[in-house]
Amino acid sequence: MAQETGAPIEILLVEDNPGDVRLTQEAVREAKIRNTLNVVIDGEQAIAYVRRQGEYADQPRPDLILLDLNLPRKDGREVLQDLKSDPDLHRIPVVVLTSSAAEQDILRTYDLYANAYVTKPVDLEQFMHAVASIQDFWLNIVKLPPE
Amino acid sequence: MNEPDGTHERPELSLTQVEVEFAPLLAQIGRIMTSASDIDEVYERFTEAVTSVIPADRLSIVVVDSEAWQHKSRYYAGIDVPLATLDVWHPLDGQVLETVVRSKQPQIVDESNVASILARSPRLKDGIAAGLRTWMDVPVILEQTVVAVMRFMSSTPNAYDGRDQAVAELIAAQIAGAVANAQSIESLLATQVELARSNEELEQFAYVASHDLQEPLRMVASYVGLLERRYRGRLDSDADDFIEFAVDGARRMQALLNGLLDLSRVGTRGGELEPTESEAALRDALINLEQAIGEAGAEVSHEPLPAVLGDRVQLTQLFQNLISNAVKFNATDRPRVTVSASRSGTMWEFAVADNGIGIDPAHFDRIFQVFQRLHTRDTYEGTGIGLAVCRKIVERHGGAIWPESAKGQGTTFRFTLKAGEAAGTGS
Repeated sequence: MAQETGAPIEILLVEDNPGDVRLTQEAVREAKIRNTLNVVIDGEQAIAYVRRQGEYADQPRPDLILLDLNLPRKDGREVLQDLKSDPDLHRIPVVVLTSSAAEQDILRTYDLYANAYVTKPVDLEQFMHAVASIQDFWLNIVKLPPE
Repeated sequence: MNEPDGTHERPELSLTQVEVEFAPLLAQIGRIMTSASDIDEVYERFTEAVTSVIPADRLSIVVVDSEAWQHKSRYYAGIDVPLATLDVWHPLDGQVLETVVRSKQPQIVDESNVASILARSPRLKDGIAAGLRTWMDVPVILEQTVVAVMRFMSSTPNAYDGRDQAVAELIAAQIAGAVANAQSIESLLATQVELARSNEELEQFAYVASHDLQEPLRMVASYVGLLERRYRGRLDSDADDFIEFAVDGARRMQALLNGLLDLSRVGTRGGELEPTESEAALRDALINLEQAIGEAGAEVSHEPLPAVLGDRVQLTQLFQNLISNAVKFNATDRPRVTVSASRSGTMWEFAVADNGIGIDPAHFDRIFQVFQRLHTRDTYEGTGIGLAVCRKIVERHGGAIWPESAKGQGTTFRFTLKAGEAAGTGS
């Protein structure tokens, strides 16, 4: 894991709403886990980022992806499908972070092998707590496969 | 009316002779019209019986609304007339049957008068183009009002005579009541369908509105929350007040939207009604209310509760809203709530009784309306949606809900639900 080598944890946030991007950045900052939060705002950018295409050629491989479902151009479900059907990428944990609590969204994303599904809590304190918990769980508690 | 024109060989009969001759037919028609089957089938069998004595290449039953001065073709059998519509209201003015509705007398259109009638009612040419040559309109009259017109049409010139007309008039008298009944049932059904559709649309609107408003509101609430978290006590006291009002407003609006969402979901997102243990739903409700009950020092007890026909999630919400109110609207140190049920025919009548502040019976209607509150926010918090949700849930379950109370005497909410044991097994 990246942590053991002392490098900061790389998180990729795929989110089109600037308000949510900033809120997640604030939550990550308050959680005080050493990390870099990179942001892309649609599904096509997300795929280009993880495949290190074009302007993302020098970007590091993310340790964790936080994925919104409703995105412009290529939506979160398609991104998930692309990631999980690519042998180079399918081990990167993907946490779906969305405002939807709809049962069909939950089922569909797990069917596409999402690692976790989190509905964005409406309450600020709970949102902060949720983001901190996600990081703590995936970056400190879980043992991920070596790269 | 038209004179018989000699092309017919049947002799003229007096009305009474006709009545006697056709008594069996009339009796048969009476039975057909009052048979319980669907009205289109009734008209079909009626047409079969009638055309056996008055041959017609096309027969239609036209419903007349004399008040709105309009008519619509409700049923037809036989050859097609292009452009003829079914079940669409048209104004009576200028139509062939306008004369019939005004005079309440039958009218035969044939070679003798078709030219003059065509000049007044150009739409007759659609029928002529389809090959029709004779039309006989007979009003169906109930309580001096024309409720419908039977129209016999034939491709034979001068097909109908006074005898046909007399028989048709007898038939019209026989069916008047049934036609009027069928029509009022149909318009009642149409009103109900329309009402259900508009209700559904309203629920859908409430759902979409409350759901889509959540997103921007979440932004407002989150960022004023962040301001409060980072800057409370670091600006001046005015700034702290302003932030507090903004946070409070956003929080209340979230509660309102959630309430509206709950309300709209009762109808649109409800599950199947199936045998459900109401006691299990109550237990879920009490778990959800654990904190509120604990903070109020309340004591909630219940008798053994029966199985009912219900949606478990909604029953939980019903108990939860009622018990939450019982605990909240209570000035005592030890709020007490008891839940019980007693059998009443095929229903169970539940009672949620408290020792709270009571409700003035003058407000019994208001409390079930959305956003209606009896107290200022300082005294008792709330959105004014809880009881509206309760009523909607109970009504969706085919029951009723009502309060019994007097000011200062505590309140008992009673509601009925269908008994839920499987048929024959008992409970």
